[in-house]
Amino acid sequence: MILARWLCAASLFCVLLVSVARDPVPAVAQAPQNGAKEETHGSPADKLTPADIAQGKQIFAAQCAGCHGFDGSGQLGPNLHGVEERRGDAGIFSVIRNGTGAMPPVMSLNDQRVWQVVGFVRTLGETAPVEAAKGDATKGKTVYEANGCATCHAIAGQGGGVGPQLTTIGKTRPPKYFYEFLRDPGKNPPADTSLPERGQSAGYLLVHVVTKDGHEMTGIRVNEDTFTIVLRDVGGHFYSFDKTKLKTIEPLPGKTVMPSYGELSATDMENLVAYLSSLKGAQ
Amino acid sequence: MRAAKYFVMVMALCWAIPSFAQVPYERLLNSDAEPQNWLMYGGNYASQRFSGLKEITPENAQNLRVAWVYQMRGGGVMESSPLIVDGVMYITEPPSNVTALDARTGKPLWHYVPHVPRDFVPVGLFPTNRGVAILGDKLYLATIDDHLIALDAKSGVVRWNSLVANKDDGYAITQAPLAIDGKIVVGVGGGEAGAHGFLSCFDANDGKLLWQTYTVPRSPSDPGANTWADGSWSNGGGTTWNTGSYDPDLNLIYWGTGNPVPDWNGEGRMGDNLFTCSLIALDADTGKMRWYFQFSPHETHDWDSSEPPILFNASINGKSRKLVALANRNAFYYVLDRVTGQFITGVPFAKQTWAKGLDAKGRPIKLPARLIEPSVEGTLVYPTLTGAINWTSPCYSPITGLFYVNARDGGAYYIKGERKFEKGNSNGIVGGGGGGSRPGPAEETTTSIRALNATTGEKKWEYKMVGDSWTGTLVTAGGVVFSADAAGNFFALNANTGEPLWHLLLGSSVRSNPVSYAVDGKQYIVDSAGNSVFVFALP
Amino acid sequence: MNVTRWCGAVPVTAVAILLLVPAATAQFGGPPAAHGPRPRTTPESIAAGKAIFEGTCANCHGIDGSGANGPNIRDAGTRLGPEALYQTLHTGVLGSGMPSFSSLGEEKLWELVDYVSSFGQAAGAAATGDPQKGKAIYDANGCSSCHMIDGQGGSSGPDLSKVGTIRSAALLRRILLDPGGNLPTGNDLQERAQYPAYEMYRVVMKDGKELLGTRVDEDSFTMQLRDEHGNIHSIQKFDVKEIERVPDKSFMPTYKGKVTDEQLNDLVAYLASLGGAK
Repeated sequence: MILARWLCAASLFCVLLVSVARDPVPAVAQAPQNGAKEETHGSPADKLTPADIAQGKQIFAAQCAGCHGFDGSGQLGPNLHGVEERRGDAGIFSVIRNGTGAMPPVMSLNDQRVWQVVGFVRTLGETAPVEAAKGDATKGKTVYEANGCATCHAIAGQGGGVGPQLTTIGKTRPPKYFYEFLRDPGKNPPADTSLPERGQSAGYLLVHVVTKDGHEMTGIRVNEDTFTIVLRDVGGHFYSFDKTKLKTIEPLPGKTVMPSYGELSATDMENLVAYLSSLKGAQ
Repeated sequence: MRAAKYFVMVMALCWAIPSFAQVPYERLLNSDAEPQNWLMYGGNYASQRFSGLKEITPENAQNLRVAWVYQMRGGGVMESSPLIVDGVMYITEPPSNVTALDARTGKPLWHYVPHVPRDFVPVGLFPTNRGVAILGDKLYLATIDDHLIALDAKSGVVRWNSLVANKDDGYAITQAPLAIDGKIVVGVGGGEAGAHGFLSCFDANDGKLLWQTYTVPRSPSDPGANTWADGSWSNGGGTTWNTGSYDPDLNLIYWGTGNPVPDWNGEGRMGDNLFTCSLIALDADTGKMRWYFQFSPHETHDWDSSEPPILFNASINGKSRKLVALANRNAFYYVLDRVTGQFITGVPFAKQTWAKGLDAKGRPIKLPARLIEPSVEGTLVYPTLTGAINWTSPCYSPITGLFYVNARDGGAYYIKGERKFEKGNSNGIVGGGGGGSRPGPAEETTTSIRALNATTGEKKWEYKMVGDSWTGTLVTAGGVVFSADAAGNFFALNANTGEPLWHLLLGSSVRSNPVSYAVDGKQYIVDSAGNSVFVFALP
Repeated sequence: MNVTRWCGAVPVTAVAILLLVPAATAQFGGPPAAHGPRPRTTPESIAAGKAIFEGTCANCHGIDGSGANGPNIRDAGTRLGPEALYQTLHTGVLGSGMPSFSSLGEEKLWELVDYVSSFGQAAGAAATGDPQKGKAIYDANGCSSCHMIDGQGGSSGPDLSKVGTIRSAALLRRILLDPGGNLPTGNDLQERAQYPAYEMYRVVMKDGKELLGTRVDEDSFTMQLRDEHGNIHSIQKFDVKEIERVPDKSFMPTYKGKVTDEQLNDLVAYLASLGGAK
């Protein structure tokens, strides 16, 4: 009777946070989450045996890999390599237990299991370093600018708002993701993290609607329920539809407003990927 | 002074009149006769969740509006199904708190907060509660840490407190108990932690244990032990985590049982694994098993059979039959003879890709193991891990003869893990029992309200929703079905046609069963969304 | 009909849990409040704590800490120790009438800790009677038709299971002699915790019907009254002609003149012993 799995409605996320805060696990649950590295003295993760870490790996494969990839290098969710550097063991524990951003809290594991996952996650930085991007990031920035990427994407506040912000994209996506994505953006759209209640849906889904009085529009789905759908056009305008007034609603999976950059030369592509990989926010 | 005179009189009364029970068993027995109240979890002993109230109809439902809102005090997931007794509403708040509200205004009357150890994190379930039972002048609450507590219904004061199970063995309780004649029946959850399932019956008066029946063998000589290879019955499972039903004439209790342990790796427990994933019928006086019907032998996808069994009578081939229907997490709808447990019919009510169908005795004809068994890389099977339906209740209208169920269509990649087992730990979810699931293909999971002919399972109509709804259903004598979608749109449908009549966005998902009641002749509909209880009425 | 009678003629039962359950601290405290090292206890810090106590705490706990509407806390310093005492003052006790006093700031909280700790073991005036005999008096006078002890008894009055741990013997005596003049605060609903509970109201409806009951809750539009049997009446104010508070009255009779002084001592001793076993 597993109800509390990570796939479970992320809309529960907020309320669960409260409940977790009321039922805190040992003091570590209050560990800083915003990057401050916690002392790892006496961390329960230090006492884990290789068998524990193997167990943690298995849990990770079953419960975490869907978003973070089997090797933790990130897919829909962020790349976890080096996360121990950033958060510390207690911080990782806290994120698993309490959730963060689009990630729901994990209630289905007891503390020991969570520590086993922490134990596995902290091996990621050591055993599987992220494959480095090969190109030249400075040249990549020129490619980025020349191709008009900034029309839709913002970096550090500069650029458009139609596509996702890229300010820290290098932290959360491995280079191989960029290669695949730039060639075929529609194939692997990012999860919708803009609203917690949409966290389980594909983001940036293009939908074509025709109203009963004959108007048509194609836009990015911002939100949809049984009775309404909200689309956004490339200009960033929102359109709210009452479904009873629509003749057809046609999702266009595999399509996106972002063009493919498969035509770029191999060098430009490498440089662009290097540039994107270098985007890690203010250092 | 008038008040003073009244006061003296009152004191005299206080001394003179002996106490008697507010809700004697007879009221529960005849709960259909007082549709203004909602006296037990399933609405009546048959768990039909049918309200006899008629004020709200398909014609006027569009005028429904909010009557009041109550915001719960703490956090957590609200899954409570309220009781309404003579103008007082009893709700439960996470993890195991009870609140009495003025059912007309929503004003709180009292709160009861049991002591629950704050470091207790149950395995595999949200620490929440789905409701209380009432009998006599007491409410009965089962807590997340496995206590059954009797409260004075008027004040919330504890009358007695009995231990049902030990939380350190993996047990946790979220269900509403079932009150019958002088007895309180309660089951347990914790199948992912290796809880060994049982059903317990306590004396309503003093909390003494009257009987306890295990659903999984505890020794090689117990019935069913030969259906667990290598003594694997000792792992446990077969939990009884959702409230069952009762037939007073047959004096039988009907209760669904959960998964075998560990969940997603069946290699160490070859065999049918009785009496997991079954419906069991127990004698209410002794707890002896009268019959069982196993829906999913040797289950490996966590498709518990804990869904509420709905009792109804219908004519089959010209003969009036006593029936029990259950829409199973495994995506099949079953109708059984509730006297004998004999299989009558079974058809899919949601998308499934694991069985060719059911044989003449109702046993599934499974597809080859390579297509359906969990694997290291993940095997895509429909329905999802949370099932075609989970704990939320379907409902049945004796007027339309339809069974209304919120059905989930979706698949998941089932992942296998190790087969080893550890008591009280997260078996079945990870490591110890292995596996779990990843979401299915990009196609989103959807849910629909489906109206089935209760006797044949044939679909009469369906109402498709967007997203993965976790709301039960309610049907009224006025001819309206209530439920909600994943976004939190609470809506009314025509019970005959499925036509949408009214909806209101409550701003957060609705994860509980709607209920109807009346105060001073005015009909109300209640359900909770997010951390609030919403009550609707006509102007 | 606008007044809903919730249980027909069913008498008995009901009314508030009056008790603040000490366990509630453990349950809701959340993370312990961080603070610096405890300053040294000095005669000055104790004096400062005394001033704060008398202005802030004495209203509930009595001027000497031996309890009034709030519990006797004369042994709190030794029972809890300074750290737990600090945390209790800082966080309050949810579900009881005890609020958080974190706004006093760390320095003043430590002064309070110093003062409360200075009570030492010395408990308030101990009950002098015989609890065994007191129990017989309790039973003979029908107290249990309104009050519950360990799940046994009625519920139109407060649950007494732990009354000995939260009421001083002196206050128990005063209540027995003048129940209406010593109404407890209501701890059954947090939102009413700062109001006196069991306040009696007489309500006359527009249709002439009269009700007498203790107020459970009231807002601008509605009022909930509990009658002598514990039944709750939901009242819409637009149906009401007159609402009148009946001061200094309680459904509980006075035991003044009803029992001898010795019997009163025994009864007080019995009540003071309740919940003490823990």
